[in-house]
Amino acid sequence: MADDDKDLGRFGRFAGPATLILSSLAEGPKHGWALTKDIEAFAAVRLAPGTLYEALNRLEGLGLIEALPSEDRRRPYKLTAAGAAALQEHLARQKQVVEVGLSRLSTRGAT
Amino acid sequence: MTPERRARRLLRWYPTAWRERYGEEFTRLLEDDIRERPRSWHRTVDVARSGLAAQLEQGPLRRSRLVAAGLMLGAALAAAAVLHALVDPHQEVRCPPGVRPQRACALIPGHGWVNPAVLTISLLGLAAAVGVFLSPRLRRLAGTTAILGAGAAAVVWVATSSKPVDPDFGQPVFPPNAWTTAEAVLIALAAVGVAMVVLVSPRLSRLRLAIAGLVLGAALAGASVPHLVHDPGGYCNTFGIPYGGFRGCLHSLGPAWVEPTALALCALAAAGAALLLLAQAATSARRARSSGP
Repeated sequence: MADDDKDLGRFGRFAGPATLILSSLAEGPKHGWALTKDIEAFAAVRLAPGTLYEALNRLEGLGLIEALPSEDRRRPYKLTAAGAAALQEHLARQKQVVEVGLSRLSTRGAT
Repeated sequence: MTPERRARRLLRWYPTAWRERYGEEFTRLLEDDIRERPRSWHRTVDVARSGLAAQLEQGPLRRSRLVAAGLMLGAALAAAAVLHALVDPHQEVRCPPGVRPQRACALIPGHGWVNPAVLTISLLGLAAAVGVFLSPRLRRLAGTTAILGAGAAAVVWVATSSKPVDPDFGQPVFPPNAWTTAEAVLIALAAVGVAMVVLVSPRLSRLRLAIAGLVLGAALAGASVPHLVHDPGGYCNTFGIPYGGFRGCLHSLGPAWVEPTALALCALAAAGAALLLLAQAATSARRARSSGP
């Protein structure tokens, strides 16, 4: 699979959920409900079940996450090395955008 | 209803392959979500949207089924809309007094929206569309429902037709070209809907259902011609097709029966379709007996 396909920026409307899921999994493996609660806690965003599994399905298909054995009908997912790299790259780009935006805002405020 | 049951119900939006892979864990997540937020329209809409998206990724058969479901629902809603707009026995067309010809008449809907026939047709269409789309086991029922729904629509249409008379222009006010009317479009949509269901239903005898659909569609079309062309009372074209505007409609519309020819054709078509379906059911039962233990 081409590396471009693993660029989260190309996820379209799934980019947001995908970034949140990968960021949550960066802490360690989590199942669907744990992901929902963790994302709600750190991002104040509640991913609806359909949206969550749509993104999980896509991320798993791209090899960015991996399913672990199910426990009590809950299947945890973990971040793969490719997923960690894709998240790292995406967040670095986002950070650059944030820094430029904040810097320009502060310059505008000073004038 | 328990969270488990509600979760299982929501899972039905997804295709079989998806359910096999994610079903257990997804229903568990839904159960947790339902326990925390027992009522959530957002959740239902999200699951439905995501399930439909998963269905669309399943390949051409699913897309065909979606098209068929859309057509059936569209045909049913069109039937309901046409029934409401054209043959609602409670509606009125009000024109300004003393103006000849009356070019600025308004259509007053009356109580058409509570017309049980409109609701019935809409619900039949919805049930058939959902049945076709979601469950292969319901396809037979959905096909039957679609045909019965179209037959019911035809009978209701014939039975509740109102015939306003043009006071200014004499008779007949309706143009002889019946194929340009909304009714013709409706009939074509219904026929296409039935045909699409037949095409995407591998478990049904396609030939027999196709014949049933075609017989029904052709007879409905045939029924519309004497109704529209030879209607001795004329017809008020509330859609403004093709002579533009509401001019020349009566102030109040009275109930009326159309020609026995149209009624007979519709009854014949419904009977023909029912006979074909019964023959299909009998053949299926015979096959099941012969292939049994």
